[in-house]
Amino acid sequence: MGPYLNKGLSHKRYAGRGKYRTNSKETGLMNRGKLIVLGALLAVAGAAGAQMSDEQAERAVETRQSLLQVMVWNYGPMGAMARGRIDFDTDRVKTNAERLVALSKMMSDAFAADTRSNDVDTEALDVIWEQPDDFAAKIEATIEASNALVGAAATGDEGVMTQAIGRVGSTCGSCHDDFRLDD
Amino acid sequence: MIHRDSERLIWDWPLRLWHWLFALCVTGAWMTGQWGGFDWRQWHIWFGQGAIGLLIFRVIWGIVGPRNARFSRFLPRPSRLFTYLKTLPKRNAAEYAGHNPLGAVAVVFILAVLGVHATSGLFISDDILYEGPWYVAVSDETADFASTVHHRLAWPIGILLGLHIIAILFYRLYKGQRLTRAMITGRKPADRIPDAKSIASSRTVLALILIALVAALAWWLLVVAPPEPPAEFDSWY
Repeated sequence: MGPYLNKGLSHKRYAGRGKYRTNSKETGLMNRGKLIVLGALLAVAGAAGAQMSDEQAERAVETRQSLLQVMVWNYGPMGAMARGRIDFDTDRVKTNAERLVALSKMMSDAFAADTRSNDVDTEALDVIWEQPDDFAAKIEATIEASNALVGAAATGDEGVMTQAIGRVGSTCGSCHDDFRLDD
Repeated sequence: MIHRDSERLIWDWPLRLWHWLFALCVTGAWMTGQWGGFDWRQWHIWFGQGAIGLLIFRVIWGIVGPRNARFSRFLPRPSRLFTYLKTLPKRNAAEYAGHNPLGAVAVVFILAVLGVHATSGLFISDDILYEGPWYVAVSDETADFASTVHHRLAWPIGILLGLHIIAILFYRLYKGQRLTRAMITGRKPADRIPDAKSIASSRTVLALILIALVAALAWWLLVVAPPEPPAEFDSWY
């Protein structure tokens, strides 16, 4: 919600700039008009530079951490199965893998809000927004591995599922390596 | 071994075996930790836990082992360390039988740092699949602190290991001392080392008993004693 709200705001200011410009031509008050245009431009630049408020950013951080928490909630039991800590439950794997597909598809939107310039407590590294293509590729890998896990669950074979669960974890880890603060 | 008479036994076999196993564990753990990522994390854990078992052995061996392995014998007083540092640039300065004063300080420092590092690894999780055996026993705050320690020490340890190798090369190339060879064969040339500084035996029987005890202790510490991770669904909240 944060970024969209912000975008809406910027558009409003942009529209306003056009209006003032027309006004200045009509009235011929060039100096005053110029000042107003300049002021409006600065407002637009300010809005763009500040991105979003810290409050919005905090909510964005909360949203993506919640998303990851729900992913852990779904992945955790499968990890425990793969490690032999709990018995395999093929239905559970199928359900949770399908959820992971849906959840991992939310990642790119969840991380769209650029919180680099905000004062927030986050382990998300700046490189997420500096190298968006690399980040998108990591997300894509998780979506693919989750899809493959749905397929593995369909076989009902514990060995196949164990492998596929490991590969999903591997895509999580690979993204953490590059895009999450270590400590 | 051919020139047995012209050489003196300096390092007992348990210490030599310990050194190379420790080198393997630390190098393996460091490389899998830095570059292995998730796919090598199980190996990282095995290497790290191996290092912990070895560290326990080394500390005890430093008390009950032969003289050159003993902390009390090789840890120098500051004045001796200072004197040694002044002779460091001399190419022909007398070779020490065991650790020289600077090497002794380096050894204890390396053991301490690696001890802290390996121990911190027992309390952390990768938030995906793997965690140290004691992660479930501590609070999130403790785990976070251990994680900070573990990750921030990674590069300093890499530098420490690099310095260790540079030091060995320095002694080999600048001072003509074959420290690596001594750590393999256990021996140094008799014309460089007085007989009084050699060791009579490797204390093999004591070493074997200690190895068995430490292995059991490490197994208990890392596998038996840690609480079972809860496998209920509410444990992933």
